[in-house]
Formats: sequence, structure tokens, C-alpha cells
Amino acid sequence: MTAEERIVASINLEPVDRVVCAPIIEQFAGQFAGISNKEFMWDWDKAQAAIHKVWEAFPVWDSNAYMMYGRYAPVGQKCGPGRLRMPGTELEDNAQYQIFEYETMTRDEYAIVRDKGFMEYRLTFLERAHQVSREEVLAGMKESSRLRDDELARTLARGQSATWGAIMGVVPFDAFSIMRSIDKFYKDMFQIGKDVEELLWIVNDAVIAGAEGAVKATGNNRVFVGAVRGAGQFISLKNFERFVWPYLKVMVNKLAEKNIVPILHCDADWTKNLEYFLDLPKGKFVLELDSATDIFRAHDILKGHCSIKGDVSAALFTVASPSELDEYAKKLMTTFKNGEGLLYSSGCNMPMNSKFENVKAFFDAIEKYGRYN
Amino acid sequence: MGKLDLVKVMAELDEDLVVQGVKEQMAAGIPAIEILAQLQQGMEQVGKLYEAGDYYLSELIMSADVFTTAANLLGAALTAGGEQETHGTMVLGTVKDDIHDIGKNIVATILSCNGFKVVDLGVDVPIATFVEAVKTHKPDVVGMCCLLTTAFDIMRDTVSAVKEACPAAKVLVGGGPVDESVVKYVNADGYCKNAYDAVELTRKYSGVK
Repeated sequence: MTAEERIVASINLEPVDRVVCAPIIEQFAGQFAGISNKEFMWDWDKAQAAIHKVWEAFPVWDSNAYMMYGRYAPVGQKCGPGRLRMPGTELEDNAQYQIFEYETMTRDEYAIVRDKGFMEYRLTFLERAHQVSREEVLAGMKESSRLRDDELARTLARGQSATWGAIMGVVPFDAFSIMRSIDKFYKDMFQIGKDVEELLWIVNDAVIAGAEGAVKATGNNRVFVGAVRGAGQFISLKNFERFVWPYLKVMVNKLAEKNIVPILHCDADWTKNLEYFLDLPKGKFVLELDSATDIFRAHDILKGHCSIKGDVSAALFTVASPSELDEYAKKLMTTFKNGEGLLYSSGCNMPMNSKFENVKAFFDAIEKYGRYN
Repeated sequence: MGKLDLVKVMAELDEDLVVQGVKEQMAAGIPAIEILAQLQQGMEQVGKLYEAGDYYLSELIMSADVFTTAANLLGAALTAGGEQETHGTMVLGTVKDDIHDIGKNIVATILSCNGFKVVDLGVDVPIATFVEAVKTHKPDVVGMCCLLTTAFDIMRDTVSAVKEACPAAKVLVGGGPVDESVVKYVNADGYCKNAYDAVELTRKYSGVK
């Protein structure tokens, strides 16, 4: 099977020759290649060369869950997901980049979303978060699209699949939470819930439209959609049913009608919410977990219904022994049977300071436990 | 007590009624410390609802916000009554090289609302600052947060230095990538998956029943 055939079959819950290997490599690649994180985040060609080196060392890595085009410092500091502090400028040369969240949007500014639409307000948010002009935000977005195409072309050229063609941001609940900041938005949820419900639909429509545009631009029908703050770890099922689930359900259904597959990147603990995902169309989405959700419980509930991506934890990469990581990988790949759609991955990003021998154990596990032919 | 049951409306997170209740009681001449005690009882009920699975982190955050608004109304009246008694002290901070503050701020607010004194050292806190703080404040508990895996090593060094400087203090750690294996790695005494774990463990280590 080609890498693309393998990931498509996995998402369709069909048998594959071996498990798809789709970690989010990001900043680990720079460390692996022996360059500083400043070089990795500020020099596009060096970053891409470092990522290529990881693939050369571990060619079993067959699906690139890429996101550098949105984080690369010259672009990320104009239109990235929030205010980014970067190595070499705000941070030491080999520091990990960090997102600084604050109340960028006021409650009064919901009116702008209502009157002018979400994308218009999003530009205002980006101007404010990054302290740049509208022109700089737009130039950053244009450059980011160019880099996305480059990252995609490099991925396909080495025979990998692109896990997703584009990152579509986050579900509406998280979009507002990030802009308002987590505590302010939870307060909005309690105090102006009716208004919030109405506004979330505006964001939902924008995300769906954005996904359609991205698929046209990349030729890849898979899109990344992040979700964290609406998890059962943080809000009650009553509020989940009011502020998260209706939107997510409509989004996934509408995307499915257009043959677009969202990779629902669900960080934090969604264990209490897992049964809801049975209401989404079978084989038309991927649930990506970061190790906070019990992936084995997810398997129990969702096997035969959707592909699941995950979830070797950050701790297993950084503080555990290689044998502990190997044991976990074995459990994952023996629990999910062929045709049950496991996309074997790091839980969220592979940590920048992952131990080499643990990373090796991560990749080696594919041949040991994930090969079916 | 005034017309409104302040404990109940606090537990129900009704900010308008809490504010109204506090104002009514202040106007009726009820001592600020007694009003505060009712708010704290309401917070204890919030904690029980959380433990029962009826409330979630969002409710904890909301409760802390309502509590802070109400306590601010008491303001000067509260200070005039002398320093408030607290259940215990936590020195808290995000470890060096990590600037994330959301989780830390939530823990600080919720602990304060539950009657603990919190010495918040902020983010990107050097080891020496933690050491100085524990020598000065002699806390029951030290809380350390991080969201970066690259901060695990500095967290381990910070735990070690704090334990040497203040052997009686228990060290709790938390943050996105932290789990039980990280607790072992950094030699901490406990892991807080969420803010309420921090309240419970701080209660335990401060000897509060």
C-alpha cells in the first residue's frame, strides 16, 4: 500500500498492510538534526531539512502531521494562533516556543462578530495579539499558505501522506475561549449563554467554509480541527450539550457531505464525552487523542465507528525508559485490530526534548507490533 | 443573616444575588468577617459539588470569580478586622523557562477562595526565588506548574532545592504534560490533575479536616 492508500483505508476502517505512523514531529526535529530551536523556528529550509532527517532515520514514519507552516516564527508572529514567544528573540536560543494567552477580546467585541462576521473579527484579534498591522497579518497569511504548499510538496515527495492538508484552527468554543481567555469565556458561558450560543454558530459557519477553501487549495480532503476546552475534564455534560456538541455535530456532518474528513485533535480528557462521537457519521472523521483521554476506553466505545489517532504521551518520550514506551506501544497496537483504524502517533506533539532512544523505540514498535502483512 | 441565603447563592454561582446579599448584610451591620465566612461556606459547597461530579473546572473558575467580586466588596471592612485566619500557606509558581500562567492562576484563585494563603511567585520563577520564598513563608505546601516538557529537569532541580531549604513542606506539581511518572521523575510528593486536586492535597498536607 502507498502511504496515502494506508491512511485512507485506516480512516475508512478497512484492513491495512501495517499501522499508519503519524506523529507530530515539530520541534523535536531540530534537536535531532543538531540545530538550535532558534534556527529551527526562524530558518524554513533548515527546519524542513531537519524534518527530512528524521524521516531518513525513521522511514517507517509514513504520515506527516505537519504544522510548521503556521508556527514558523516569521509567519507565526503575524498570524499564528496567539501571541508567540520565540527562541532567539523573546526566549533563549534553544528554548521551546510558547504561546502567551491573555484577554485579547473584550465581551463588548462579540458585537463585531455578530455584525461583521467571524473572519473580520479574527483579523482584529490577530492584529492585537501579534501587535502588527492588518497588512502584516494578511501578508503573513499569504506567506503561510505558500509555506503550507511547500511543506505539503516536500511531504509527498518523500512518499509520506499528509495526515491533513491544512490546519483549520479550532472548534467555535475554543476559538472564543482563546480570544477571550479561558476564565473570561467560561464566565460568558454562565452569564450570557444565549448570546454565546448564537455567536458560536457564526464561528462554526466560518470554520466549515474555511475547511472547504483549504481542501480546494491543498487537494487533500483531511483538515485538522482542534478542541480542548469543551472537554468533560472542564465543563459539564449539560454545558457540553449546549455549547460544544451541537456545533461539532453540524460541522462534522456538513464536512462529511462534502467528503471532507476532519481530524478532531482533542487535547485534554474527553473520556466522559466519548459516547457522543457515536452520533457522528461512521468512518468520516478521526478522533485524535493526546493521552489525557483514556484511549482504550475510546477504543471500547468507538471501535468500528471511527479511526483514532494517538497517543504515546509526552512523559513516555521524555522521562520513561525505552522499554516502558515499547510496552505502551505494544498495548496500543495489539488492542486495536487491523481494520479498527489506529493512526499511531505521539499524544499531541512529540516533545522537543524527547530522548533519542525513546523516539527510536516509538518508531521501531511499528515493525514489531504494527505490521499485518 | 440578611434575606438572601448567601451560602446557597454563592454555591449556585449567582453573581448578582451574591453581590446583593453581601450589600444587604453590610448595610445591616453584619461584620465583614462573618459575611466572608458565609462566602467560604458557599465555596466549600462548590467543592463538594465538584467532588460529586456535578460541578466542573468551569464552575470552579466561575465560583472563584464570584467569590473575588464579593470579597472585594468587603474590601476595607475586612482589613480593618485584622489579618484573616487561613488554613495554611502555599508557595506557588511556574518553574523557570516556562511562562504559562493559566493553570497556575486558576490554582491560586481557587486555593485563596478556599481559605489558603497563596504566595504567588508568578511565571519563569528561578530556583533561588522558590528557595527564598520557602525560607521566608515556611509554607505547608509548594506548588509548581509547567506546560513544557523541557521544564521537567528544572522542575526536578527546583523540587530538590526547595526540599533542602524547607524539608517540612510538601511539593505538588501539575500542568498539561505532567502525570504520575513525572511526579516520580521530579521527586515531588503529589500530582494535581486539576485545581481541585490542589485544594484537596493542600488541605491534607496542611492538616485541615
